[in-house]
Amino acid sequence: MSSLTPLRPLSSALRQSYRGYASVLNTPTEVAQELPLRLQAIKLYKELHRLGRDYPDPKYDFNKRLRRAFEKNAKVTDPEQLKKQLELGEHIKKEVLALISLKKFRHLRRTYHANEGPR
Amino acid sequence: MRPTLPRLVNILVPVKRSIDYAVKIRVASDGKGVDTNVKHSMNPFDEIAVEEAIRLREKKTTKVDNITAISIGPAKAVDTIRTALAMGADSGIHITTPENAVVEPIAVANALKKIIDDKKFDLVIMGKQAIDDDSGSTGGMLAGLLGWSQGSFASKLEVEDGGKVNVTREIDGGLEKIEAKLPMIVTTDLRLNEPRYASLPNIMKAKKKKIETFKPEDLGLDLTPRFETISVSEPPKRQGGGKVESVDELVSKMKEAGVI
Repeated sequence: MSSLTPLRPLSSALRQSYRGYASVLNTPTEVAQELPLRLQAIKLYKELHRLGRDYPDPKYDFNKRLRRAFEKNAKVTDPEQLKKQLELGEHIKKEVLALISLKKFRHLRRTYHANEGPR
Repeated sequence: MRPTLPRLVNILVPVKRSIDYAVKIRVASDGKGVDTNVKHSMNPFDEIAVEEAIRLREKKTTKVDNITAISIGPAKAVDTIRTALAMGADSGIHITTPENAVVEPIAVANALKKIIDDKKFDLVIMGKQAIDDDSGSTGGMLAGLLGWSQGSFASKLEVEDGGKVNVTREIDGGLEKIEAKLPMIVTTDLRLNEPRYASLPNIMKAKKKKIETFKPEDLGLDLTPRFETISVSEPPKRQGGGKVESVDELVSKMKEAGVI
């Protein structure tokens, strides 16, 4: 998991291994279309920052990478580019959510259903 | 024949503020418990219960009137109720207990029975066990006290209009399907559903939802523990293994140990 950088979309092979959690990735994005782009970016940053607290890999410096990713796009002015980056951000948010849910699921399965085969 | 009026189902979801699943449990300094000065969050099986209640309402195969989240615990248990409200519950009930007080399953079951008798619920969906004490008894005790049917370790739940319930249970060696009628207690197992994450906007919206607070005395409840924990200790540390150089050495060491 430490080799995953959530700044690029997951490969389809890895996506299939999430099985039921693919549903999390396929849920429609509720991007607030009415908000100005700057406020959308702030909202996205806050949500990602909050998710970062539960990020499964403790060695992965989530907050630093989050900051860098947003700083890289700070100077961009083209609204089309910005919209694409925000969509990418929303996608990453869903992936991080899937990683968090999966870690919890696997822990619970190991703890409470360790000796069972697939049903 | 007069058609029966559609029932409105009132769902109660008890949630527990338990030690977070990712925390490494340590024995407390007095040796009579575990260190509780750590991160707490909603019991994962209770998250699954909240999610199932919300999905029942969304599915509309039965008309859900109200989903109430309830927690019996210290002041901080309000955060757990707020998480349930952020996921989609309509209102909350908090029965306050002193900080660091032990609340045993029987006490929880008695408190829930009182609330259910007062406020009339049809369906209680709760986690099968809490991950910090793993007693797994509250659901069964509550069903016994109320005289209601129970579907424990549910991996699938269907509630039809008219109160008929189909529960698929996870048991040793497979799955069991049972049919019952409301009112009923259902305890959730891991594969029932994947709980939603309470997003920031939903948390903000949840601040407007009402949480009623009660003290146990207000309800005529005595929640004092019946058991005293005498000691808690870690399992013995694993002895280090030794490396061998060859298969012959391995065989001789096994013979020494009396294994072969």
